[in-house]
Amino acid sequence: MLNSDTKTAVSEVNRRRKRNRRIMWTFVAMWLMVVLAPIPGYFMTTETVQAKGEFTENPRSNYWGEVRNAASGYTTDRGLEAGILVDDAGENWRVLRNDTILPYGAWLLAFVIVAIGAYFMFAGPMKIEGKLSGIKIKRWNLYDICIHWIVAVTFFVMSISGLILLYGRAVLIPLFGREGFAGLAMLCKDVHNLLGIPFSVALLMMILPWLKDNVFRSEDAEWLSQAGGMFGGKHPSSGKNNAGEKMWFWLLTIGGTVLVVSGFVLVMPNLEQLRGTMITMHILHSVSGLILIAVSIGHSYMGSVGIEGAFDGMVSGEVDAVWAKQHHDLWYSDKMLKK
Amino acid sequence: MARMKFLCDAERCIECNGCITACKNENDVPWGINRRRVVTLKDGEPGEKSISVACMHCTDAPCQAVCPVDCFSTTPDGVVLHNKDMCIGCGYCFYACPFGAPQFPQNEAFGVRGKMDKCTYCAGGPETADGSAEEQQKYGSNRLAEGKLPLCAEMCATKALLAGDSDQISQTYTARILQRGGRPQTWGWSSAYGE
Ligand code: SF4
Ligand code: SF4
Repeated sequence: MLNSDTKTAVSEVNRRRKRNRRIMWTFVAMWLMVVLAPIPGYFMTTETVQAKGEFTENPRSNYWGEVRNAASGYTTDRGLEAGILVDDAGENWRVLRNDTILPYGAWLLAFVIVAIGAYFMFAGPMKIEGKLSGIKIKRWNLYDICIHWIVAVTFFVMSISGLILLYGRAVLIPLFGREGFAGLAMLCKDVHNLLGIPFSVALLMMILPWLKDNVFRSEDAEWLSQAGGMFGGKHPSSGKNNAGEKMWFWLLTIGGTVLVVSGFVLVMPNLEQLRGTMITMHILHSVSGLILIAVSIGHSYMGSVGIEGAFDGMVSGEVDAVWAKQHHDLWYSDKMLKK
Repeated sequence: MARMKFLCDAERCIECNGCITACKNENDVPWGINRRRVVTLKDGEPGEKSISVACMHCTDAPCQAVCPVDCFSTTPDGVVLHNKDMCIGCGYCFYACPFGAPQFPQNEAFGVRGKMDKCTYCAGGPETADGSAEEQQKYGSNRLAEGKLPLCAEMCATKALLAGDSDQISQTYTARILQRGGRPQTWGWSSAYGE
């Protein structure tokens, strides 16, 4: 009795298991059918389309796609590139200028100012070591001094006017209002455009005669590795110009050339240059301008309060022998030997 | 509020340049400046199409975003206007505009750009009194203030160039498309002339 009961129970369990398995497989089969059923349709459609050779592409959409990608047509308008209906180049330029150059330029300038401020507060200016000797050595002649200050002043005015044109809308319009700012912006544009000419000439007249003193030499590596003695330690050796000055010279030469060339392309829009050229030049102009402004802040700091005695050198052209020995020892011994 | 737009039906434009003439005349547009132009694509080939284009009075306009003196304003009708007193002629709007709409008079030395000029949607200037002589001289006519639409579209003989509230002109255009049928082979160039 008990035995047959167990048997029935076992067969009951087996039956249920079988049924469950059947249900599961039915579901799998249904799922497969749902997934696979449309596939023959795809084969058939592809075949018919290929057979007829139609609708593989949409000619109208291709047509307007080309127009969207700056295809050019015929027009009676004599303006440059007037045949182009839609050109995206300006969109990229707008994003680069407004969302990249503007904020990162501001961060760069802020970083430089904060870094210099912090350095000044913690390390203070580089003082002349010991007493002045009273013996003067000629470092710059009258030509050097004049050309330096012409470049410096024109660069300064152009930096300020350029920054006003770049950041005025964000910074000055909230202060002065749009009407008030427009007058200033107009003045900045004219000054920026006109001063470009004396700046370019003076820059060239400064770079050429100074070239030979700014060629990198063996002692410069040592100077650079010690950061010019900026963070303590012995003042490293240097010729007439130290490696820092040389780097600034080359940055100004390269960046200045980029600035001048792009500036002239932008300032004379009647040279038949195309919009794409002007957009590229504008990006180069603002990027090189911002970098040079940032570094020039550092240069101005060193030349004024940062290094005692440096400013007099660019005003009178003469430096004290003690200063020369401290900052430019190789040049100093050269001078002494010649005397 | 209405949002004014232009729409040019390329299937209808016959490159008569009537819109250009209307614009030049109505707004006293100076020599060398074209607020509107007609561009013909595939000129003389199968599939030739003409389109009249001017400032599209963009929503969130790129020109507005880059102008260093922020002299653009969008009227409640969605018309993008710029103030010529403030404009410094830097050309940035011309760099940014996808449609080549901003124009510059080049009568100063070395081609220095004068004040920017572009289509005003026949809505005059942002700061001048509606319909004043000053406005006519500086920006051209203000038909919108008189309850009229831009003359280019009003003059268009084939009604290819539509101007008006964007909802209404898109309705007109949709009705045209529906009437033509969705298939390109039943209307347009190929049905008229064969490929
Ligand atoms: S000028 Fe160009 S970018 Fe500005 S609203 Fe007109 S079409 Fe748009
Ligand atoms: S040309 Fe005039 S309107 Fe155009 S971006 Fe420059 S200032 Fe603004």
